[in-house]
Amino acid sequence: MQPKNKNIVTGIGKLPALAPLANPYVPFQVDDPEQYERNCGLVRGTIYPGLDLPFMGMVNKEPLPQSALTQLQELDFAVQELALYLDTHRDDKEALALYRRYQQMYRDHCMAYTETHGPLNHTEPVTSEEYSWLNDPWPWEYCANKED
Amino acid sequence: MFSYNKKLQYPVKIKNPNPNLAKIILTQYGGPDGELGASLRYLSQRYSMPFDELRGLLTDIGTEELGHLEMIGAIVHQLTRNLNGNQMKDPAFAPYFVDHTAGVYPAAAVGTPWSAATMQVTGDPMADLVEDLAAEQKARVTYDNILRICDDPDVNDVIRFLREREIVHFQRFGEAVQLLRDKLNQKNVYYMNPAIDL
Repeated sequence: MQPKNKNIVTGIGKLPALAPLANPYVPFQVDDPEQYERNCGLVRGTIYPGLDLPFMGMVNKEPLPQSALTQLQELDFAVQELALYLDTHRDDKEALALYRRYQQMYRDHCMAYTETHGPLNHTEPVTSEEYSWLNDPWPWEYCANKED
Repeated sequence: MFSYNKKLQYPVKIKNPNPNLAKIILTQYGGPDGELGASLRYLSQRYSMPFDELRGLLTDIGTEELGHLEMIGAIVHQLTRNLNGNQMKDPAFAPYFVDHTAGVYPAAAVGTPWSAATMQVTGDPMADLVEDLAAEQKARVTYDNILRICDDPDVNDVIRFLREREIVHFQRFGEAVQLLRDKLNQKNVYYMNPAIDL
């Protein structure tokens, strides 16, 4: 659960030398910020240690039990987190490369997941002969998050 | 357009039903600082938002909030499954039960139905983004308060994830304010409304 480089100073951002009056200022997160490993990011709610600010020291310490679904959720989450970062840091080439890498991993996992668990949405091509959209438990059900 | 993906953003697996707790968590479904208001606020504000980064950010965060709405719905649903007679009659839950049974209705913890009066679309980019900064803080505090009073580890696991998302969103909206400011009159950022005057 520690950043890869333990010496990194987390929480760093950049402020301009002169900030205008009467306008709120949140420092920019620096380019190519330190990141958690993929399976750690989802359980912490962010892939960036610098933004990981838990309430009263209460943190999710254990990685999620690994299943085809949680692997997909981890990759989907990494893509989402990087997308929000890139929305405000569109010129960060390292982040863009990582975003693309996670997109590709998501697509690969998605194909494997759909084979065994049925489609995630209506536009994904499925090989099944039957209308499998209705088969699996719905995501909000208790049994939907079984560890398999 | 939106298309549904048949999975949650983060797993929700609540072992022990607890309808009284469900009524508290429900406030993040349809309360004043909940996920429904968040998603509608951002997805509505984006139409009048100038600049691609700001439109993109409101679309992406607004969409993620819809995923959070679904996760809160999943928590409430799982906390109200297999209700027994005593749980239905519990004075804390009976008023909700009589109106909604075990359905998930967008209301605050005190029972007030969700209202668009809890959010604003001013059509002024700076005012809207500053509202969004406040909205993320208010949602974060609501999650803090849930963590204070809820002792179900399965629920708190999910709440901690959602709370952290508020902090990440706050950071991104703060950066969006900076991106906006860079594009405005450097001597007076309030000189005009860039949504209609640029």
